Amino acid sequence: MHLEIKNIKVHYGKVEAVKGVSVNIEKGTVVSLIGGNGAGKSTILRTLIGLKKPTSGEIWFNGERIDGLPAPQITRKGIGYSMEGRRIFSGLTVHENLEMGAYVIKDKQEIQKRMDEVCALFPILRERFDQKGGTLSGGEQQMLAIARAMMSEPSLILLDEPSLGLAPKIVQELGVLIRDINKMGVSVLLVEQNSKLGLGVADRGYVLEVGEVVLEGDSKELMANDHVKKIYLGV
Amino acid sequence: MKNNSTTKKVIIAIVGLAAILLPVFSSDPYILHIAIAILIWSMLALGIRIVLVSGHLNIAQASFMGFGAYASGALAMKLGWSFWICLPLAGVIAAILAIIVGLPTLRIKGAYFVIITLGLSEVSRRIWMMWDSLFGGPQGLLGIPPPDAIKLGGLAIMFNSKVHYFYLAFVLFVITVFVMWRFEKSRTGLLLKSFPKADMLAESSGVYIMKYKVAAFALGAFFAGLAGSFWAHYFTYCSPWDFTLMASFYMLMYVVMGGTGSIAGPIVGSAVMLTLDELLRPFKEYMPMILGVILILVLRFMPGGIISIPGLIRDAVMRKE
Repeated sequence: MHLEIKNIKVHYGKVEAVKGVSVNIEKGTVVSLIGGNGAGKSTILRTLIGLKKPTSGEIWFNGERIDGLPAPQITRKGIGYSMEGRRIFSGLTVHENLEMGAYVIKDKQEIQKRMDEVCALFPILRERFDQKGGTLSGGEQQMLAIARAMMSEPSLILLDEPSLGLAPKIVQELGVLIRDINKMGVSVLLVEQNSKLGLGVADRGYVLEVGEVVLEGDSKELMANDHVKKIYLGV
Repeated sequence: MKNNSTTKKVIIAIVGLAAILLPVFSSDPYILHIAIAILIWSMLALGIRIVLVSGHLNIAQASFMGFGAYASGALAMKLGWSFWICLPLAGVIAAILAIIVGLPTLRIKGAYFVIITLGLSEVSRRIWMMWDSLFGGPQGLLGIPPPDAIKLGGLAIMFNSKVHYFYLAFVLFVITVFVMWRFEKSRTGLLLKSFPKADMLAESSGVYIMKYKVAAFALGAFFAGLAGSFWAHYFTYCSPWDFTLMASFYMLMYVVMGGTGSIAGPIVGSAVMLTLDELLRPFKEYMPMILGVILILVLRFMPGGIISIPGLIRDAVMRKE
Protein backbone atom coordinates (compact mmCIF):
# COMPACT_ATOMS: atom_id res chain seq x y z
CA MET A 1 0.00 0.00 0.00
CA HIS A 2 1.35 3.40 -0.98
CA LEU A 3 -0.71 5.46 1.44
CA GLU A 4 -2.90 4.33 4.29
CA ILE A 5 -5.08 6.67 6.27
CA LYS A 6 -6.38 4.85 9.32
CA ASN A 7 -9.43 6.28 11.01
CA ILE A 8 -8.25 9.89 11.31
CA LYS A 9 -10.18 12.55 13.16
CA VAL A 10 -9.41 16.24 12.65
CA HIS A 11 -10.77 19.15 14.65
CA TYR A 12 -10.91 22.88 14.05
CA GLY A 13 -11.29 24.10 17.61
CA LYS A 14 -14.22 22.09 18.90
CA VAL A 15 -15.68 21.37 15.48
CA GLU A 16 -14.94 17.91 14.21
CA ALA A 17 -14.31 18.34 10.48
CA VAL A 18 -13.18 14.79 9.80
CA LYS A 19 -14.91 12.09 11.83
CA GLY A 20 -12.81 8.98 11.50
CA VAL A 21 -11.95 8.55 7.83
CA SER A 22 -9.90 5.71 6.35
CA VAL A 23 -8.51 5.92 2.81
CA ASN A 24 -6.14 3.55 1.01
CA ILE A 25 -4.13 4.22 -2.12
CA GLU A 26 -2.38 1.43 -4.03
CA LYS A 27 0.88 2.34 -5.73
CA GLY A 28 0.33 3.84 -9.18
CA THR A 29 -3.41 4.41 -8.90
CA VAL A 30 -5.66 7.46 -9.01
CA VAL A 31 -8.03 7.83 -6.08
CA SER A 32 -10.72 10.50 -5.81
CA LEU A 33 -12.42 11.98 -2.79
CA ILE A 34 -15.69 13.55 -3.83
CA GLY A 35 -18.32 15.38 -1.85
CA GLY A 36 -19.85 18.80 -1.33
CA ASN A 37 -18.70 21.82 0.64
CA GLY A 38 -17.74 21.06 4.20
CA ALA A 39 -17.40 17.34 3.63
CA GLY A 40 -13.85 17.47 4.98
CA LYS A 41 -12.05 16.68 1.72
CA SER A 42 -9.56 19.53 1.81
CA THR A 43 -8.97 19.01 5.52
CA ILE A 44 -7.89 15.45 4.80
CA LEU A 45 -5.31 16.69 2.29
CA ARG A 46 -4.04 19.38 4.66
CA THR A 47 -3.64 16.76 7.34
CA LEU A 48 -1.83 14.45 4.96
CA ILE A 49 0.76 17.08 4.04
CA GLY A 50 1.19 18.12 7.67
CA LEU A 51 -0.36 21.58 7.66
CA LYS A 52 -2.93 20.28 10.12
CA LYS A 53 -2.47 17.72 12.87
CA PRO A 54 -5.01 14.92 13.31
CA THR A 55 -6.54 14.54 16.79
CA SER A 56 -6.46 10.78 16.44
CA GLY A 57 -5.75 8.10 13.86
CA GLU A 58 -2.66 7.19 11.87
CA ILE A 59 -1.24 7.99 8.44
CA TRP A 60 1.24 5.60 6.85
CA PHE A 61 3.18 6.44 3.71
CA ASN A 62 5.45 3.83 2.12
CA GLY A 63 5.36 1.86 5.34
CA GLU A 64 6.36 4.86 7.45
CA ARG A 65 4.17 6.69 9.91
CA ILE A 66 3.92 10.36 8.93
CA ASP A 67 1.05 11.89 10.88
CA GLY A 68 2.13 14.76 13.08
CA LEU A 69 5.32 15.44 11.12
CA PRO A 70 5.83 19.03 9.93
CA ALA A 71 4.94 19.77 6.29
CA PRO A 72 8.48 20.33 4.98
CA GLN A 73 9.50 16.91 6.24
CA ILE A 74 6.51 15.17 4.65
CA THR A 75 7.25 16.89 1.33
CA ARG A 76 10.75 15.44 1.48
CA LYS A 77 9.33 11.95 1.79
CA GLY A 78 7.85 12.29 -1.69
CA ILE A 79 4.40 13.84 -1.46
CA GLY A 80 3.53 16.76 -3.73
CA TYR A 81 0.66 19.06 -2.88
CA SER A 82 -1.25 21.40 -5.16
CA MET A 83 -3.30 23.66 -2.92
CA GLU A 84 -6.91 24.65 -3.31
CA GLY A 85 -7.59 27.86 -5.21
CA ARG A 86 -4.60 27.69 -7.60
CA ARG A 87 -2.15 28.77 -4.95
CA ILE A 88 1.09 29.83 -6.59
CA PHE A 89 3.76 32.40 -5.76
CA SER A 90 2.03 35.15 -7.75
CA GLY A 91 4.91 37.62 -7.42
CA LEU A 92 7.41 35.15 -8.85
CA THR A 93 7.82 34.16 -12.48
CA VAL A 94 6.72 30.78 -13.79
CA HIS A 95 10.35 29.73 -13.82
CA GLU A 96 10.89 30.80 -10.21
CA ASN A 97 7.69 29.10 -9.15
CA LEU A 98 8.93 25.84 -10.61
CA GLU A 99 12.29 26.33 -8.92
CA MET A 100 10.53 26.78 -5.60
CA GLY A 101 8.66 23.56 -6.28
CA ALA A 102 12.02 21.85 -6.58
CA TYR A 103 13.17 23.35 -3.29
CA VAL A 104 13.90 19.95 -1.76
CA ILE A 105 16.19 18.99 -4.65
CA LYS A 106 19.66 20.39 -4.15
CA ASP A 107 21.39 19.23 -7.35
CA LYS A 108 21.13 21.94 -10.07
CA GLN A 109 21.33 19.46 -12.96
CA GLU A 110 18.62 17.36 -11.40
CA ILE A 111 16.40 20.45 -11.11
CA GLN A 112 16.98 21.27 -14.78
CA LYS A 113 16.15 17.72 -15.80
CA ARG A 114 13.00 17.83 -13.72
CA MET A 115 12.08 21.22 -15.20
CA ASP A 116 12.30 19.76 -18.73
CA GLU A 117 10.16 16.76 -17.80
CA VAL A 118 7.49 18.88 -16.18
CA CYS A 119 7.45 21.41 -19.03
CA ALA A 120 6.94 18.52 -21.46
CA LEU A 121 3.75 17.78 -19.53
CA PHE A 122 2.71 21.44 -19.51
CA PRO A 123 3.93 22.98 -22.79
CA ILE A 124 2.00 26.19 -22.11
CA LEU A 125 4.25 26.96 -19.14
CA ARG A 126 7.33 26.92 -21.36
CA GLU A 127 5.77 29.79 -23.36
CA ARG A 128 5.09 31.77 -20.18
CA PHE A 129 8.43 31.00 -18.58
CA ASP A 130 9.42 34.54 -17.56
CA GLN A 131 5.95 35.84 -16.88
CA LYS A 132 4.85 36.57 -13.31
CA GLY A 133 2.60 33.83 -11.94
CA GLY A 134 -0.11 36.33 -11.08
CA THR A 135 -0.48 37.43 -14.72
CA LEU A 136 -1.44 33.98 -16.00
CA SER A 137 -5.02 33.00 -16.84
CA GLY A 138 -6.96 30.85 -14.40
CA GLY A 139 -6.32 27.66 -16.32
CA GLU A 140 -2.63 28.41 -16.68
CA GLN A 141 -2.32 29.17 -12.98
CA GLN A 142 -3.88 25.83 -12.19
CA MET A 143 -1.43 24.10 -14.53
CA LEU A 144 1.39 25.95 -12.79
CA ALA A 145 0.09 24.93 -9.37
CA ILE A 146 0.13 21.27 -10.41
CA ALA A 147 3.47 21.59 -12.21
CA ARG A 148 4.98 23.17 -9.11
CA ALA A 149 3.83 20.24 -7.00
CA MET A 150 5.33 17.85 -9.56
CA MET A 151 8.74 19.52 -9.42
CA SER A 152 9.82 17.82 -6.19
CA GLU A 153 9.57 14.46 -7.98
CA PRO A 154 6.84 13.11 -5.72
CA SER A 155 5.64 9.50 -5.79
CA LEU A 156 2.23 10.69 -4.62
CA ILE A 157 0.58 13.94 -5.59
CA LEU A 158 -2.36 15.54 -3.80
CA LEU A 159 -4.59 17.71 -5.99
CA ASP A 160 -7.10 19.91 -4.20
CA GLU A 161 -10.02 20.94 -6.42
CA PRO A 162 -8.02 21.55 -9.58
CA SER A 163 -11.17 22.08 -11.68
CA LEU A 164 -12.56 24.90 -9.52
CA GLY A 165 -13.62 27.85 -11.68
CA LEU A 166 -12.20 26.50 -14.92
CA ALA A 167 -13.93 26.40 -18.32
CA PRO A 168 -15.37 22.97 -19.28
CA LYS A 169 -12.86 22.51 -22.06
CA ILE A 170 -9.96 23.07 -19.70
CA VAL A 171 -11.51 20.69 -17.18
CA GLN A 172 -11.39 18.03 -19.90
CA GLU A 173 -7.72 18.77 -20.54
CA LEU A 174 -7.14 18.48 -16.82
CA GLY A 175 -8.56 14.96 -16.87
CA VAL A 176 -6.12 13.95 -19.58
CA LEU A 177 -3.29 15.58 -17.70
CA ILE A 178 -4.02 13.72 -14.47
CA ARG A 179 -3.93 10.50 -16.45
CA ASP A 180 -0.58 11.53 -17.97
CA ILE A 181 0.86 12.23 -14.55
CA ASN A 182 -0.36 8.84 -13.39
CA LYS A 183 1.28 7.18 -16.39
CA MET A 184 4.62 8.54 -15.15
CA GLY A 185 4.16 6.19 -12.20
CA VAL A 186 2.87 8.80 -9.77
CA SER A 187 -0.06 7.93 -7.51
CA VAL A 188 -2.71 10.63 -7.42
CA LEU A 189 -5.10 11.61 -4.65
CA LEU A 190 -7.66 13.92 -6.18
CA VAL A 191 -10.18 15.97 -4.26
CA GLU A 192 -13.07 17.19 -6.40
CA GLN A 193 -16.50 18.71 -6.22
CA ASN A 194 -16.77 18.06 -9.93
CA SER A 195 -17.69 14.41 -9.44
CA LYS A 196 -17.75 13.68 -13.16
CA LEU A 197 -14.09 14.59 -13.44
CA GLY A 198 -13.27 13.08 -10.08
CA LEU A 199 -14.75 9.67 -10.73
CA GLY A 200 -14.10 9.76 -14.48
CA VAL A 201 -10.36 9.89 -14.06
CA ALA A 202 -9.99 7.74 -10.94
CA ASP A 203 -9.50 4.04 -10.36
CA ARG A 204 -11.15 4.16 -6.97
CA GLY A 205 -13.33 6.68 -5.27
CA TYR A 206 -14.59 7.72 -1.85
CA VAL A 207 -17.74 9.73 -1.30
CA LEU A 208 -17.58 12.00 1.74
CA GLU A 209 -20.48 13.63 3.53
CA VAL A 210 -20.00 15.84 6.60
CA GLY A 211 -16.68 14.35 7.58
CA GLU A 212 -17.48 10.71 6.98
CA VAL A 213 -17.03 8.24 4.16
CA VAL A 214 -20.50 7.18 3.08
CA LEU A 215 -19.48 5.17 0.01
CA GLU A 216 -16.29 3.76 -1.40
CA GLY A 217 -15.26 1.45 -4.18
CA ASP A 218 -14.27 1.07 -7.78
CA SER A 219 -15.03 4.36 -9.52
CA LYS A 220 -17.05 2.69 -12.30
CA GLU A 221 -19.23 1.02 -9.69
CA LEU A 222 -19.63 4.30 -7.85
CA MET A 223 -20.75 6.02 -11.02
CA ALA A 224 -23.42 3.36 -11.44
CA ASN A 225 -24.58 3.77 -7.83
CA ASP A 226 -28.03 5.34 -7.52
CA HIS A 227 -27.17 7.66 -4.63
CA VAL A 228 -24.09 8.96 -6.44
CA LYS A 229 -26.04 9.35 -9.68
CA LYS A 230 -28.77 11.33 -8.06
CA ILE A 231 -26.76 13.58 -5.74
CA TYR A 232 -23.38 13.95 -7.41
CA LEU A 233 -23.73 13.33 -11.11
CA GLY A 234 -27.16 14.86 -11.55
CA VAL A 235 -28.35 12.15 -13.91
CA MET B 1 13.72 46.88 -18.24
CA LYS B 2 17.40 47.06 -19.09
CA ASN B 3 17.28 50.85 -19.37
CA ASN B 4 15.63 51.01 -16.03
CA SER B 5 18.39 49.08 -14.31
CA THR B 6 21.13 51.18 -15.94
CA THR B 7 19.40 54.34 -14.74
CA LYS B 8 19.28 52.80 -11.30
CA LYS B 9 22.99 52.02 -11.39
CA VAL B 10 23.80 55.58 -12.50
CA ILE B 11 21.68 57.04 -9.71
CA ILE B 12 23.31 54.78 -7.12
CA ALA B 13 26.77 55.73 -8.43
CA ILE B 14 26.04 59.47 -8.32
CA VAL B 15 24.51 59.37 -4.85
CA GLY B 16 27.34 57.18 -3.60
CA LEU B 17 29.98 59.46 -5.04
CA ALA B 18 28.28 62.54 -3.62
CA ALA B 19 28.19 60.86 -0.23
CA ILE B 20 31.86 59.89 -0.35
CA LEU B 21 32.87 63.42 -1.34
CA LEU B 22 30.57 65.13 1.17
CA PRO B 23 33.38 65.92 3.67
CA VAL B 24 35.36 67.56 0.86
CA PHE B 25 32.54 70.01 0.19
CA SER B 26 31.64 70.67 3.76
CA SER B 27 33.61 70.15 6.90
CA ASP B 28 30.81 71.71 8.92
CA PRO B 29 30.41 69.33 11.90
CA TYR B 30 26.67 70.02 11.96
CA ILE B 31 26.15 68.83 8.37
CA LEU B 32 28.42 65.85 8.95
CA HIS B 33 26.51 64.91 12.08
CA ILE B 34 23.22 64.86 10.18
CA ALA B 35 24.83 62.79 7.43
CA ILE B 36 26.09 60.30 10.03
CA ALA B 37 22.63 60.11 11.59
CA ILE B 38 21.08 59.41 8.19
CA LEU B 39 23.53 56.59 7.52
CA ILE B 40 23.04 54.99 10.93
CA TRP B 41 19.27 55.39 10.96
CA SER B 42 19.13 53.86 7.48
CA MET B 43 20.85 50.77 8.84
CA LEU B 44 18.23 50.48 11.55
CA ALA B 45 15.34 51.10 9.17
CA LEU B 46 16.66 48.48 6.73
CA GLY B 47 16.68 46.01 9.59
CA ILE B 48 13.02 46.70 10.31
CA ARG B 49 12.13 46.36 6.65
CA ILE B 50 13.67 42.93 6.16
CA VAL B 51 11.45 41.58 8.95
CA LEU B 52 8.45 43.48 7.58
CA VAL B 53 8.97 41.80 4.21
CA SER B 54 8.52 38.39 5.84
CA GLY B 55 5.21 39.55 7.30
CA HIS B 56 6.18 40.58 10.82
CA LEU B 57 6.39 43.93 12.54
CA ASN B 58 9.34 44.51 14.85
CA ILE B 59 8.90 47.53 17.12
CA ALA B 60 11.91 46.78 19.29
CA GLN B 61 14.57 47.79 16.79
CA ALA B 62 15.75 50.56 19.13
CA SER B 63 16.17 47.95 21.88
CA PHE B 64 18.48 45.90 19.67
CA MET B 65 20.39 49.07 18.94
CA GLY B 66 20.49 49.69 22.69
CA PHE B 67 21.77 46.20 23.47
CA GLY B 68 24.49 46.74 20.89
CA ALA B 69 25.35 50.12 22.38
CA TYR B 70 25.39 48.93 25.99
CA ALA B 71 27.23 45.70 25.25
CA SER B 72 29.87 47.56 23.33
CA GLY B 73 30.11 50.39 25.84
CA ALA B 74 30.28 48.09 28.87
CA LEU B 75 32.89 45.81 27.31
CA ALA B 76 35.03 48.78 26.36
CA MET B 77 34.71 50.50 29.73
CA LYS B 78 34.78 47.57 32.17
CA LEU B 79 37.13 45.25 30.33
CA GLY B 80 39.00 47.81 28.27
CA TRP B 81 38.36 45.98 25.02
CA SER B 82 39.05 47.73 21.75
CA PHE B 83 36.15 49.22 19.80
CA TRP B 84 37.11 47.07 16.85
CA ILE B 85 36.33 43.94 18.86
CA CYS B 86 33.29 45.41 20.59
CA LEU B 87 31.67 46.50 17.30
CA PRO B 88 31.18 43.05 15.74
CA LEU B 89 30.44 41.56 19.17
CA ALA B 90 27.64 44.09 19.66
CA GLY B 91 26.09 42.92 16.40
CA VAL B 92 26.42 39.27 17.36
CA ILE B 93 24.92 39.85 20.82
CA ALA B 94 21.92 41.66 19.32
CA ALA B 95 21.48 38.87 16.76
CA ILE B 96 21.59 36.14 19.42
CA LEU B 97 19.01 38.04 21.41
CA ALA B 98 16.81 38.23 18.30
CA ILE B 99 17.11 34.47 17.80
CA ILE B 100 16.08 33.84 21.42
CA VAL B 101 13.10 36.16 21.09
CA GLY B 102 12.21 35.08 17.56
CA LEU B 103 12.24 31.31 17.89
CA PRO B 104 9.13 31.01 20.06
CA THR B 105 7.27 34.07 18.74
CA LEU B 106 7.72 34.14 14.97
CA ARG B 107 6.02 30.74 14.89
CA ILE B 108 2.66 32.24 15.77
CA LYS B 109 0.58 34.20 13.33
CA GLY B 110 -1.13 37.42 14.26
CA ALA B 111 -0.19 40.20 16.61
CA TYR B 112 1.86 38.19 19.10
CA PHE B 113 5.22 39.07 17.66
CA VAL B 114 4.42 42.79 17.75
CA ILE B 115 3.29 42.47 21.36
CA ILE B 116 6.45 40.61 22.33
CA THR B 117 8.67 43.24 20.71
CA LEU B 118 6.63 45.91 22.44
CA GLY B 119 7.32 44.14 25.72
CA LEU B 120 10.98 43.80 24.87
CA SER B 121 11.24 47.57 24.43
CA GLU B 122 10.02 48.15 27.94
CA VAL B 123 11.87 45.25 29.57
CA SER B 124 15.18 46.24 28.03
CA ARG B 125 14.78 49.85 29.15
CA ARG B 126 14.10 48.61 32.69
CA ILE B 127 17.16 46.38 32.65
CA TRP B 128 19.40 49.30 31.72
CA MET B 129 17.75 51.52 34.32
CA MET B 130 17.99 49.05 37.20
CA TRP B 131 21.36 47.46 36.59
CA ASP B 132 23.47 50.28 37.97
CA SER B 133 26.74 48.43 38.33
CA LEU B 134 26.92 47.30 34.72
CA PHE B 135 24.83 49.79 32.73
CA GLY B 136 25.05 52.89 34.92
CA GLY B 137 21.35 53.11 35.75
CA PRO B 138 19.21 56.06 34.63
CA GLN B 139 22.16 58.25 33.76
CA GLY B 140 23.63 55.59 31.48
CA LEU B 141 27.21 54.90 30.56
CA LEU B 142 29.40 57.97 30.55
CA GLY B 143 32.87 58.16 29.07
CA ILE B 144 32.75 55.34 26.55
CA PRO B 145 36.13 55.50 24.78
CA PRO B 146 36.18 56.56 21.11
CA PRO B 147 37.45 53.98 18.57
CA ASP B 148 41.19 53.31 18.73
CA ALA B 149 43.21 54.96 16.01
CA ILE B 150 43.84 52.94 12.87
CA LYS B 151 47.30 53.23 11.36
CA LEU B 152 47.44 52.62 7.63
CA GLY B 153 51.10 52.97 6.73
CA GLY B 154 51.95 56.57 7.45
CA LEU B 155 48.30 57.61 7.65
CA ALA B 156 46.63 57.51 11.03
CA ILE B 157 42.88 57.78 11.50
CA MET B 158 42.52 59.17 14.99
CA PHE B 159 38.74 59.59 15.26
CA ASN B 160 39.23 63.11 16.48
CA SER B 161 37.05 64.70 13.80
CA LYS B 162 33.56 64.05 12.53
CA VAL B 163 34.99 63.29 9.08
CA HIS B 164 36.50 60.07 10.39
CA TYR B 165 33.26 59.03 12.00
CA PHE B 166 31.44 59.86 8.81
CA TYR B 167 33.61 57.48 6.82
CA LEU B 168 33.24 54.76 9.44
CA ALA B 169 29.45 55.16 9.36
CA PHE B 170 29.57 55.14 5.58
CA VAL B 171 31.49 51.84 5.52
CA LEU B 172 29.03 50.26 7.97
CA PHE B 173 26.14 51.56 5.89
CA VAL B 174 27.56 50.18 2.64
CA ILE B 175 28.11 46.78 4.27
CA THR B 176 24.51 46.79 5.50
CA VAL B 177 23.10 47.70 2.10
CA PHE B 178 25.26 45.14 0.34
CA VAL B 179 24.30 42.30 2.69
CA MET B 180 20.61 43.23 2.60
CA TRP B 181 20.72 43.40 -1.18
CA ARG B 182 22.40 40.01 -1.54
CA PHE B 183 20.03 38.51 1.01
CA GLU B 184 16.99 39.81 -0.82
CA LYS B 185 18.14 38.73 -4.28
CA SER B 186 18.95 35.23 -3.09
CA ARG B 187 16.53 32.34 -3.03
CA THR B 188 16.06 33.07 0.64
CA GLY B 189 14.90 36.59 -0.15
CA LEU B 190 12.45 35.42 -2.79
CA LEU B 191 11.05 32.96 -0.30
CA LEU B 192 10.85 35.52 2.46
CA LYS B 193 8.71 37.80 0.33
CA SER B 194 6.25 35.00 -0.32
CA PHE B 195 5.57 34.29 3.36
CA PRO B 196 2.91 36.93 4.08
CA LYS B 197 0.64 35.52 1.37
CA ALA B 198 1.84 31.99 0.73
CA ASP B 199 3.46 30.59 3.86
CA MET B 200 1.58 27.30 3.65
CA LEU B 201 2.50 26.94 0.02
CA ALA B 202 6.15 27.45 0.94
CA GLU B 203 5.90 24.93 3.77
CA SER B 204 4.35 22.32 1.54
CA SER B 205 7.15 22.96 -0.97
CA GLY B 206 9.49 21.71 1.73
CA VAL B 207 10.64 25.05 3.16
CA TYR B 208 11.21 25.34 6.91
CA ILE B 209 9.87 28.87 7.01
CA MET B 210 10.82 29.49 10.64
CA LYS B 211 14.48 29.23 9.74
CA TYR B 212 14.14 32.06 7.26
CA LYS B 213 12.00 34.27 9.45
CA VAL B 214 14.42 33.96 12.37
CA ALA B 215 17.36 34.55 10.02
CA ALA B 216 15.79 37.78 8.73
CA PHE B 217 15.03 38.95 12.26
CA ALA B 218 18.55 38.15 13.45
CA LEU B 219 20.06 39.90 10.42
CA GLY B 220 18.07 43.06 11.14
CA ALA B 221 19.09 42.90 14.80
CA PHE B 222 22.74 42.34 13.92
CA PHE B 223 22.92 45.61 12.00
CA ALA B 224 20.97 47.36 14.75
CA GLY B 225 23.65 46.12 17.15
CA LEU B 226 26.40 47.50 14.93
CA ALA B 227 24.55 50.81 14.67
CA GLY B 228 24.19 50.92 18.45
CA SER B 229 27.85 50.21 19.04
CA PHE B 230 28.84 52.95 16.61
CA TRP B 231 26.41 55.38 18.22
CA ALA B 232 27.73 54.71 21.74
CA HIS B 233 31.38 55.19 20.83
CA TYR B 234 30.57 58.19 18.63
CA PHE B 235 28.78 60.04 21.45
CA THR B 236 31.01 58.38 24.12
CA TYR B 237 27.75 58.08 26.01
CA CYS B 238 24.52 56.10 26.03
CA SER B 239 21.46 56.06 28.27
CA PRO B 240 18.15 54.20 28.55
CA TRP B 241 16.41 57.25 27.08
CA ASP B 242 18.16 56.85 23.74
CA PHE B 243 16.59 53.51 22.85
CA THR B 244 12.92 53.84 23.68
CA LEU B 245 9.81 52.56 21.98
CA MET B 246 9.42 56.02 20.49
CA ALA B 247 12.79 55.69 18.77
CA SER B 248 11.61 52.40 17.25
CA PHE B 249 8.44 54.10 16.03
CA TYR B 250 10.53 56.77 14.33
CA MET B 251 12.59 54.09 12.56
CA LEU B 252 9.41 52.35 11.47
CA MET B 253 8.09 55.65 10.21
CA TYR B 254 11.18 56.16 8.06
CA VAL B 255 10.55 52.75 6.50
CA VAL B 256 6.90 53.45 5.76
CA MET B 257 7.58 57.00 4.52
CA GLY B 258 10.34 55.89 2.22
CA GLY B 259 8.51 52.82 0.98
CA THR B 260 8.68 49.17 1.96
CA GLY B 261 8.95 47.86 -1.58
CA SER B 262 12.69 48.18 -2.02
CA ILE B 263 15.97 48.63 -0.18
CA ALA B 264 16.15 52.24 -1.33
CA GLY B 265 12.89 53.01 0.52
CA PRO B 266 14.12 53.07 4.12
CA ILE B 267 17.28 54.94 3.04
CA VAL B 268 15.32 57.64 1.24
CA GLY B 269 12.85 57.72 4.13
CA SER B 270 15.60 58.23 6.71
CA ALA B 271 17.30 60.89 4.60
CA VAL B 272 14.14 62.89 3.93
CA MET B 273 12.72 62.62 7.42
CA LEU B 274 15.93 63.41 9.29
CA THR B 275 16.57 66.40 7.03
CA LEU B 276 13.01 67.55 7.58
CA ASP B 277 13.51 67.09 11.30
CA GLU B 278 16.46 69.48 11.20
CA LEU B 279 14.74 72.04 8.97
CA LEU B 280 11.74 72.12 11.27
CA ARG B 281 13.84 72.37 14.42
CA PRO B 282 12.27 75.73 15.42
CA PHE B 283 8.96 73.88 15.75
CA LYS B 284 10.47 71.08 17.80
CA GLU B 285 7.50 70.71 20.17
CA TYR B 286 5.10 70.28 17.30
CA MET B 287 7.30 67.78 15.49
CA PRO B 288 5.38 64.59 16.35
CA MET B 289 2.19 66.28 15.20
CA ILE B 290 3.67 67.51 11.94
CA LEU B 291 5.24 64.13 11.23
CA GLY B 292 1.95 62.44 12.02
CA VAL B 293 0.12 64.54 9.45
CA ILE B 294 2.83 63.92 6.85
CA LEU B 295 2.65 60.19 7.55
CA ILE B 296 -1.11 60.13 7.05
CA LEU B 297 -0.80 62.09 3.80
CA VAL B 298 1.90 59.78 2.49
CA LEU B 299 -0.11 56.68 3.33
CA ARG B 300 -3.24 58.14 1.78
CA PHE B 301 -1.79 59.48 -1.48
CA MET B 302 1.25 57.29 -2.04
CA PRO B 303 1.14 54.03 -0.14
CA GLY B 304 4.33 53.02 -1.94
CA GLY B 305 6.17 55.76 -0.05
CA ILE B 306 8.36 58.64 -1.20
CA ILE B 307 10.25 56.29 -3.45
CA SER B 308 7.14 55.71 -5.56
CA ILE B 309 6.88 59.39 -6.58
CA PRO B 310 8.71 59.05 -9.93
CA GLY B 311 6.48 56.11 -10.84
CA LEU B 312 3.34 58.04 -9.87
CA ILE B 313 4.41 61.01 -12.00
CA ARG B 314 5.17 58.72 -14.95
CA ASP B 315 1.74 57.12 -14.64
CA ALA B 316 0.05 60.52 -14.48
CA VAL B 317 1.88 61.71 -17.60
CA MET B 318 1.03 58.53 -19.47
CA ARG B 319 -2.62 58.83 -18.56
CA LYS B 320 -2.70 62.38 -19.92
CA GLU B 321 -1.25 61.22 -23.21
